[in-house]
Amino acid sequence: MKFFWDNTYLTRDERSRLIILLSVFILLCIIKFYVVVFYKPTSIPIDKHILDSVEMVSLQKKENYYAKKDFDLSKSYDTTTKNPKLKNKKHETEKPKSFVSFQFDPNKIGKDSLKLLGFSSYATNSLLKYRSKGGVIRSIDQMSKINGLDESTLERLTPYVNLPEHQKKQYASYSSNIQNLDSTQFAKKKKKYKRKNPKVFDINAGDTTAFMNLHGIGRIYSKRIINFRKSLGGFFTIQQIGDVWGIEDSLFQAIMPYLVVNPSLIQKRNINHMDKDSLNKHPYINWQKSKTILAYKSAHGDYQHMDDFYKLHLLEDDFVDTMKHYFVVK
Amino acid sequence: MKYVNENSRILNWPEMPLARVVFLLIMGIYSSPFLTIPIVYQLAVCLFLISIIWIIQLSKSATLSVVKSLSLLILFLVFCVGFFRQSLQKTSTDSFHYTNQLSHQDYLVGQIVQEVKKKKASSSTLLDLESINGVSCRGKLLVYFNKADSILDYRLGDIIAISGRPIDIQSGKNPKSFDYQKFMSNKGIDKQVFLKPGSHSLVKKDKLFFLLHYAHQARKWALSVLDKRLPDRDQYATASAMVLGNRDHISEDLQSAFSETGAVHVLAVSGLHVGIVIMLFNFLFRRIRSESKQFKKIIKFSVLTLVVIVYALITGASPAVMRASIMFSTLLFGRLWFDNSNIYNILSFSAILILLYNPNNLTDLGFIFSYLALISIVYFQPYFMNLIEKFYEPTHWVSIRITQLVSVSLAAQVLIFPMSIYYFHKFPVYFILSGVMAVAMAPFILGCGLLLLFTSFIPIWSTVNTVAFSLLLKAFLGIIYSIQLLPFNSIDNVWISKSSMVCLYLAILSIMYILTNRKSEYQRFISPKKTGRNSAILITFLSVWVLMVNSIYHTYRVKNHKEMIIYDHNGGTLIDIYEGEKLMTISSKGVDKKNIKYTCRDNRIYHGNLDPNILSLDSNFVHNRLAIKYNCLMYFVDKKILFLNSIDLEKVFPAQSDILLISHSCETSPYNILDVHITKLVVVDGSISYKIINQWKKECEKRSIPFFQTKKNGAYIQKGI
Repeated sequence: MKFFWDNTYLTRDERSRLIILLSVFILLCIIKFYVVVFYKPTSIPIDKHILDSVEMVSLQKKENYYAKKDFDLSKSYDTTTKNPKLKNKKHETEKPKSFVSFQFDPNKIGKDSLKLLGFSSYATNSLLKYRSKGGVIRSIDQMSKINGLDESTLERLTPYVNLPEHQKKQYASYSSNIQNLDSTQFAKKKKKYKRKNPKVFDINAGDTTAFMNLHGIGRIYSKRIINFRKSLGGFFTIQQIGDVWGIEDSLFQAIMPYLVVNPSLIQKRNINHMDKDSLNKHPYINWQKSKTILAYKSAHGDYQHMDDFYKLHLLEDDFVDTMKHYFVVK
Repeated sequence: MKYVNENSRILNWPEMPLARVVFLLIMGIYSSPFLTIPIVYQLAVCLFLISIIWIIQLSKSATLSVVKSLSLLILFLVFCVGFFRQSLQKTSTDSFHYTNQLSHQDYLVGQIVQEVKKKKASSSTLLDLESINGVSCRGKLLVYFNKADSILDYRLGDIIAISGRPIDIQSGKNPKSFDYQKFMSNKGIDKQVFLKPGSHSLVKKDKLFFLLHYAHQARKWALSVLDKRLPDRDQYATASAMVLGNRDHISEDLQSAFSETGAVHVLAVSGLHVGIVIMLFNFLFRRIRSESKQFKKIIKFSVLTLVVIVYALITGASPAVMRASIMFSTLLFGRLWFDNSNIYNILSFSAILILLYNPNNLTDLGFIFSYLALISIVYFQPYFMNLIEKFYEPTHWVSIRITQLVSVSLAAQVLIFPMSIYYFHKFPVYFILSGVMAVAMAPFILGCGLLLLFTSFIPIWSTVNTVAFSLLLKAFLGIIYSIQLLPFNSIDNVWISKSSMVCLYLAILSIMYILTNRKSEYQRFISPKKTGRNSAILITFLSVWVLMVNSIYHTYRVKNHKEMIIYDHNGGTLIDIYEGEKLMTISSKGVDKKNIKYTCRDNRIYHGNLDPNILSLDSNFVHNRLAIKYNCLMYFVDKKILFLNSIDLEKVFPAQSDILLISHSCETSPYNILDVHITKLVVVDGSISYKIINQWKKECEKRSIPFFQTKKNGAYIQKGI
């Protein structure tokens, strides 16, 4: 207890100075307190020009949103929004429900009259944009392609659409012209085509020209086949041509009669000398398989016989059979 | 004994009445967030107390009991003032603050008070708000401009208008991670806004408050001078940091070199720099002779304070520098006017001023570190000096200086090191070496740099000066880099808990109390009581014991637990699996070493393992002790965890799982999966956009499946044992 009283005791000077310090501070705090609690925020006039430029982006997006979703979602949108500008916009889009209908030409009508007809602002914009880029509306079907124009308005307006007769005619003649053009060009192209004379050849020996002689196989496919052969080391059956990427079964069936294979031409590689990268380059060996093959090698030493592969449980027997064509043990 | 240890007795209250006041003020500030009392009541209590105190003080009925209770009342009032001041700081009580007037979409006008920082992803700046939706307001707001706005020519002081939706500053909610939100709110910044392209506009060109404006101009000019004179980038970065307090140009290598050697404090302009500047100018006053002592005092004080203010303004008037200058101005004032003033008293007074001005300083590491370092130097330096002199008596003035510096850097570490380990998890081994070099060279670098700035217009002299300056910097950097190259330069990744830190402090303080209060035989003969000493010994033993128990418990907990943590990481999936000190990390594409740092570094330090076995999210691992994964299914202890990303969906996936983790590029809709798959918990991590998160959330609520979202709830932790 003595310790407590000793350490809380203040001398006369200390007391008087501390009291002055504290009272000054409390005074300052009261000023701050007044500012915090009682000071009422004043309104500052907003420069409308700046408000427009700042809110342009966000408001434009909102407008499109309402045009698309047809007000249903706007109800779920927070109605407590305090922004006066936003509120006004919402009312503008909700108000016009009774529309006027009159005869009009969609290629000439202005922005205001479109609004009167019941076009949403988004649809109006898209129509005007289409026209400004040189687009012409020639039929009522084309009207339905205007973005933002819903079906009910279109149905209501179809009797009033006034398309000038001569434009319709022009359109008709133009389209017939195009059809004529097409048929003549097509004929010219057909004449260029040459018939090929395929011959029977060995797929392990043949080069790209030999493959290109076949029906349905051109420059790209033949290159692909040759590349595939290179990475494999050679083919052991004709069926492997079907494995080449892009060659479908129908094509393969068509060219099959012309293919022969000589498996002795396959370049066999020594499995004990292969490393991870060179194994991965082989099309039939993926990353997992190469890993298991190498793991066995690191565990048991070099492969003594090709039948050692059957011991690897992760490799299917079919796979090992095909492997025998490409690898040897030395 | 040459150096009389005048300040050795720490509990010598009568010499420093203000130390108690600071202590109670800090208590008041700390306790404020825990209690919510209406602010009007708080004010009423304060007013009531002060009026009672005035009445008693003026009544002159000075019996002992009255005086005792009066001093108690005053101390209690100090506590209440601290409490009151901190609650005034809260933004929720401030109706004028913009955070209390927010709506869905706001139109805000404010002044730019920080230069626009341009980065790859987006540019950012700080706005001091003037109005919100046409109503005046106050507060600071962090603004991010969209990267589509490539041209931003806003200057400091411009008033701009923006429209957007201010949101809370997000901070990663991972275990043991740095709380960015708290850090910013202590700076007075509560919200941030991400602007859409084009939704900002200039209102008018303006300037900052004229002093700040000129300070900014002066700083720009000084930086340009240094930039021109020092072609070497490292030298320029060091010079601009040490002289002008601009740390923007410091590279990561430089930063790590300084922090590993323990000399990082010279890079941040703080008390040290202000002290050095005062010392340099004080040096000039030695030559001035005046008949009137009082006149000399006044001149000295006013000139030095002016110098401090000018220097603070040039360095950008950052809070750290303002604090240091307040501290040193009061120190100067006290030392000059009151000859027998106690340094702790003056320090306490400056701390009171700073805390009353902004109580948030109490959570600022810079504030804590500078005061701790100063107290520690003042208190322990004479002791270490004595200790050194027992073994070696310096005679030459150079050796005397060096021993002084060694004792200063030793003394500074005493109170600093527990906290620096707690916050930065590293301890520089060669702190004496680097500290001596840094503190010895800092005055020369600062003086040379300031001289260069002020005489840069003199043609030949300035080139000579530049050469000398760059040589100095080169030597300094060379020393720092060579210290960094020494083996075992820093003890990294040390984890201590808060309670261990407190114990360390208790132990240090009580040990130092015992050492500094040794009585001579004569004194012991006069007063044989040793109560203080005995209790100090008891406290030392107790705290060391608690420390040991704490560390043993920590290692026990770390070694004997198994857990999986799905971190909240922006733009990627990051999963750590611990078993004891073994650590395995599963990460996806968007995760790289750099951005991981804030997510999981501290947690990994806590577990004592910083180099994990990293595996890809798409890989399979069957022969792993910690967890087994094949295709999209992972087994962790007895839990089945299903990873959903677009690749895995092509493969067959099982019908049941305990946890369904949705991560990275998962584009399939929840309807398809939840219809065929039964799960107990759905976890969504930080790699997924809010849109998809909301889809999942809705679906989960429909089917009443528990839903966990790392962006909101923090990292997901699955305990194994």
